[in-house]
Amino acid sequence: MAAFLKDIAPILEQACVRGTLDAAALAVVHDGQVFEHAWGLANRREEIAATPDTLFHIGSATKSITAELVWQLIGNGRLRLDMPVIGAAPELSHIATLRDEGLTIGHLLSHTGGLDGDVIFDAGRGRDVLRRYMEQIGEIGSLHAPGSQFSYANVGYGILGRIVEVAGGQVFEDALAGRLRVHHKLTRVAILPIEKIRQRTALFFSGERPDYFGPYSNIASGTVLAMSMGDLARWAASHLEKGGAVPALTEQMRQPVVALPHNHRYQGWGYGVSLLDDLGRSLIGHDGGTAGTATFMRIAPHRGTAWAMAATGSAAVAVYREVEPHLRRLAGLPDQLPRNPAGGPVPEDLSIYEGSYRRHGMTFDIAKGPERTLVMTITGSMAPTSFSGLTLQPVTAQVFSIRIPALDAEIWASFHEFDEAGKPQLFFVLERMTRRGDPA
Amino acid sequence: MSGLASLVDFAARIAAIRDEAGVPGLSFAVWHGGKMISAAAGVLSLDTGIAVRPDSLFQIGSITKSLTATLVMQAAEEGLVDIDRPVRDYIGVRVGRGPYTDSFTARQLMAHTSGLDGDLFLDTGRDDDAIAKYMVLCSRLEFLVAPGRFYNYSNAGYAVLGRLLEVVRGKVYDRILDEHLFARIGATRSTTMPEVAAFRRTASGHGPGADGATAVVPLVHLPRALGPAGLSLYSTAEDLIAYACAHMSGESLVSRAGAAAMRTPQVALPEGASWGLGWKIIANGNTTFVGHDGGTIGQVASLWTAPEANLAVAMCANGGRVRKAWEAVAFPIFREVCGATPETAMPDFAPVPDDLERYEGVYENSGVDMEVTATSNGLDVVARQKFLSLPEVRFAMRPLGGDRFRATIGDDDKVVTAFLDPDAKGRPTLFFAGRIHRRKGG
Repeated sequence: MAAFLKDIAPILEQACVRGTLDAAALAVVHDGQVFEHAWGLANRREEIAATPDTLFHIGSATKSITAELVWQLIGNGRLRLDMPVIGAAPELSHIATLRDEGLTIGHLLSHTGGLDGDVIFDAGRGRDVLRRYMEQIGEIGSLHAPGSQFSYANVGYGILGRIVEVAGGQVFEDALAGRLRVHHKLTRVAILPIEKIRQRTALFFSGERPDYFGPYSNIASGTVLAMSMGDLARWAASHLEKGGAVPALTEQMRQPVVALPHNHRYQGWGYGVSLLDDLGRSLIGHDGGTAGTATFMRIAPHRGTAWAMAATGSAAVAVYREVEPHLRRLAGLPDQLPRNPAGGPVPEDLSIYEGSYRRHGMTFDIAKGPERTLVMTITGSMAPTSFSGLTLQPVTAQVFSIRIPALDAEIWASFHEFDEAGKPQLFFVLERMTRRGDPA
Repeated sequence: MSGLASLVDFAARIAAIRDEAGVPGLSFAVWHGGKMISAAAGVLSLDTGIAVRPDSLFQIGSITKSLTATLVMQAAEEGLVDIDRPVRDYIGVRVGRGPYTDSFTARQLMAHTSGLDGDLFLDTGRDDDAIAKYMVLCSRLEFLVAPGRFYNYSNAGYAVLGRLLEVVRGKVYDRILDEHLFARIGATRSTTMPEVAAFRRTASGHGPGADGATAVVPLVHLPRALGPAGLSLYSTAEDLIAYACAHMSGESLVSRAGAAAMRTPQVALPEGASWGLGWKIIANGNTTFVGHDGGTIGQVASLWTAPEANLAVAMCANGGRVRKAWEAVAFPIFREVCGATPETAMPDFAPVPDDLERYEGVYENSGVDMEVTATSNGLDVVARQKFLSLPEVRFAMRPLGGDRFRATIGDDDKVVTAFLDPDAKGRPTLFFAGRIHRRKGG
């Protein structure tokens, strides 16, 4: 066993024994070698053990692969980063926001288009599903002007999926399969359910039915693709430095498009990857979360190190936090993404932050709390039930930290676009922007 | 059933026979004396190595047709369908060409006597409208013979029955199967949806690989449109037993009279068996056996019952010499309980006629070309699929007399074929080998 695994294996093994995880799989590429390991049960109901070649639903980590498909089309001149989205596929013409805001492919790749973006619904399962999804999408809200801020938008990657089809002349599922199976020569990959049947595929059951299955319509943003961690790590390793240089594709994807005022999960975003250490110069990656499964893909381009870990179960994210320092050390990186900002002046009067901030399916009501804190209540059709009545502690005039007791976690949020009266117009929380929508 | 006294013995027997027959994964369930025993051995897939259990899912292929027919009978008992009225009255679209399109009935489709050509394996997509779209393509199908005249196994005909159910129930076929059949018999493992099968132990098909060794077959996209004929359903040996029991003794699916009507012969087959409504019927000794076999690419299943003896045997297998495994496990059980087995007695071979050339020629239907050539002791046949990318099948046939022949296809040496309707020169215009094929250019 490789030395780093001596520290990691007990963490994952014990979580599986305790039952806080059903399964975990880790694959590491380091100095040209591939290490693949798995723990626990791929399918608890059916008593199927997890093995290194078990497939996991990688969720939004799919977006990095979708981005690669876009960059491939940019490379052969069929797309441009600054190409307007509105003309890139005929079914998009009815979505006024794309036209009115002048959104480009680059905006969608980097989540800087301001799209109010959790438009996820089932448009069928056929080969024409992305076209149908675009036709049925209706209007998409705008949260901020394009290019000015970061707001994670699933719908943006759905649109990119359709653009890949039109520009590449190929159904998205075929383009994805071709990229992974032919170009990258990966075999532990499943897109269609019948492909998942033929391999060992991990699932998490919170009730009678497993909760993995997202609508096929959202294939390009991550509801469909399952891969072994070995194959995801091999994919990631294709972005490592070769012959003293980082591949051009990797350089394109990790351009620092947008930086965040805080970094509880990442420092900023590029064109297809999240920017971690040194704003992506030392570490890039993508996380994924389909219900019950969490996936973490990381690339340290100059260190010859890439890794992929997936876990099913309630402790998936917490366990990864325990594992990651060991992998960072292997890559010669600090144990954690350096926390910033360290702290700064905080205004005396917290009433400037008060108000209702809205996005699709959620309203965040912020009011003054005890002492120098704010209290946040979340309502709406997409509101997470465990997140009500949370306390916001100021770190700087812009950044607040939020403890979530139900998840034993701390997240950071930030306020943006302060007006003449000093009131913020935008509130960034849970990876997305929300816009102040006070009654006039 | 003393031979099955212990489940341990049964499990050991299944494991031994699986070994002998080279079946990757084998699952059996038996119902007798008011009890079910089941056992399984081997693996779901030689790639994954995941073990088969008696509740593992396999593609059961055409056994599905029996379930589809049951749903039609159920709808008839609810007054939603008259099985003797033209199907056209319900589905609204024209299926098949020519005058018969307005006259064939659900009863004829269930008994395979509609005459409708049936192996149109075209894909109309994975969406819920797959069967409805397929009906449009069925407008081009020929009636190989007039409805009611002869048995002609028709997959398309069962897709039409699926559409009939969708129309009268106002639901997608897959949901009708779940709600009106599986839910009522507690067969909770079975599903037509691959995304549901993917979270259960589900078998992959196997066949001879490039080096001749048994291997997982390449991925084949089976059209959802032909789900009611058997291309979609994943089921288990245990669920098939629950289904058989509902036919033999319960009223959870159809009335006793309805179940009895389904196993009443509607048409005779050349080998002596007959077809009822969704069932094949073999009378042997004092026993009437009722059952259905099924197969997809690399998977085979059988369900046979002896209703008077309240006996049922179900098998699911994923490759290898499956027929051998079936006979080794099921036949001793049937023999012990009924003194007979569900197989037709083969007639003796007849002398080789001296005019075998008159059978020669190419016979076809929408799915297959059959090239027939005379040899010194019979006929050779090469079957070529038109739509499915499957290797051609060659088989030899020896004369049984009276325009009948006995063929050996794969490991089944009991296939009886027949030539029909000779022209003025005495050359047959139809070749029956499970399906009717019409002489080309004839």
